[in-house]
Amino acid sequence: MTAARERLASGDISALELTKLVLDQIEDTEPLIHAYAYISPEHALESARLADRRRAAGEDLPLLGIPLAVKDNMETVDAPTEVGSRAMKGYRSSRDATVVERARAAGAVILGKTVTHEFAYGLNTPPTRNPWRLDCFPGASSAGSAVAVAVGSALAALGTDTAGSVRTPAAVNGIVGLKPTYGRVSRAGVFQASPSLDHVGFLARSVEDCALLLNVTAGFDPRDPSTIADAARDPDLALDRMPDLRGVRLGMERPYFFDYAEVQPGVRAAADAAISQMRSLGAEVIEVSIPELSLMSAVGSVINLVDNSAWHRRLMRDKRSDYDPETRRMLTLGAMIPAATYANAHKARRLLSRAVREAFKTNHLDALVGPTVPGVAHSLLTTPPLTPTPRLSPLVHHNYPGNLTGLPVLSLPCGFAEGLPVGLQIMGRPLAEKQIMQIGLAFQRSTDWHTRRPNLQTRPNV
Amino acid sequence: MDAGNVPPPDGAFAVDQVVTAAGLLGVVVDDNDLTWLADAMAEQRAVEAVIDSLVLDDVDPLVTFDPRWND
Repeated sequence: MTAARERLASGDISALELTKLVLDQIEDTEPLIHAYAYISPEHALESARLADRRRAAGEDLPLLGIPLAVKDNMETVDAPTEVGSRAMKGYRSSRDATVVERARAAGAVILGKTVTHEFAYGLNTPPTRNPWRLDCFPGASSAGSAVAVAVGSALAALGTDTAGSVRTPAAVNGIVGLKPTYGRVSRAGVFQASPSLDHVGFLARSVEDCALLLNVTAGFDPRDPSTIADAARDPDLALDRMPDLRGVRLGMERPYFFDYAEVQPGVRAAADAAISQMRSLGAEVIEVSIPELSLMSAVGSVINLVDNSAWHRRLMRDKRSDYDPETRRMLTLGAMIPAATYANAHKARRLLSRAVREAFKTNHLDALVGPTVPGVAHSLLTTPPLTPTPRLSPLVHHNYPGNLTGLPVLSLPCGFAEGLPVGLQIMGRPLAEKQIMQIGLAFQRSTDWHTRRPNLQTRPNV
Repeated sequence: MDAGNVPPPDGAFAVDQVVTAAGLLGVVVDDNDLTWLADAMAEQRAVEAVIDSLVLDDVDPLVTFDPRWND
């Protein structure tokens, strides 16, 4: 995106030419990876023409003429929002989600809507495939957004993260993902899953691109009362060039993030190597202990299950047969969890947040670091069906701490295991997105993992 | 599948227990889902046992969530 902005600004390429190139890439790659639920070529080309006229008139907006993809759980005026569900077939909104509205106001060209699990929650297997190995899992519910960015059928994308759904697809597709602090970016016009766990996030090819997207979309929104008014006064999240990591203190909570039984050796090795690289850049790495982290999956699963069931209560009654059976079962399970357990899960969440805060304060940490997910993308051909309570799955184990605490987390490529990408997550203090992105940027500048691209020559076999 | 510190269920949940619980709660259950739900509810009881083991008496049960470290 950064290079495209420079070429657009210099007149080397027009927004119309760039959009046509990306639409061609969509046409070439979609039969293989199925990242899009809906493509809006006419609207995209019209937006691109408008961007060119605005540039000719002297405007220079941050995303002017940049083609973006939008996850299909965000409302858009020029495309249906079906949220991966037959229950929402044909639904159209008369207004953009605030995050889409702000991206458009910054000049973005919206290409279309990307595939999500049903309601960003279901366990159905959408058609999207991992471009690094086409029989493999493409990530969680923002998979369409991540895969589109990985193959260049969007320059960047918007996603949502309730239990890792921005960070997991970023990690398994070899791109950068940012889940900002809870309340930093408005969720108005985004389909709700769990209101206190839901975050809007970004998928891009570099830390700088995530910073740019955050900068144009962050801030208070009267349509979303969870947005933090103070954050609106943080005027500039643009990154400064930080030459190294001297003075930065990184915490490693080994028992939770590295010794967990499902962490694959290759993932552990890649994350360890990345942290060694950060140490060589001057960071001080401190082993910390937060035993309360082990409660995260239990607490997160209860809140997530019940909240989703609450939202779907009426729709399930009216359109039950339209739901995918896997989603229906999860929603039924959530409806049968005792209210006292849900109330205590929220209380327990306070304990967990305090424990993480104390670890940061006691050890004077700038960030916690570890693998984004314990394993690389699994094969969809050989993996057995998910266990009955999939909210306890290893896929969400490393991600619930970020959602339950609301802290900002950056995931960036840090190597490969079994030929598949591995992600490193950097979790910071509240509203410290700029700091974790500076740390990520210093790492990114010292490696070339973020420049690796999948080879899409192989035909899919699923 | 390892699930953090959540132990495996200490017993199966019977299908007729699912039917009874759903009836009491007014939850509609599809016949095809009963076996899945019996397994899932057994796992969920193990999760609840973990949460019940915590001392939460002095924790303020805030209804709203704010990530900032104000408390």
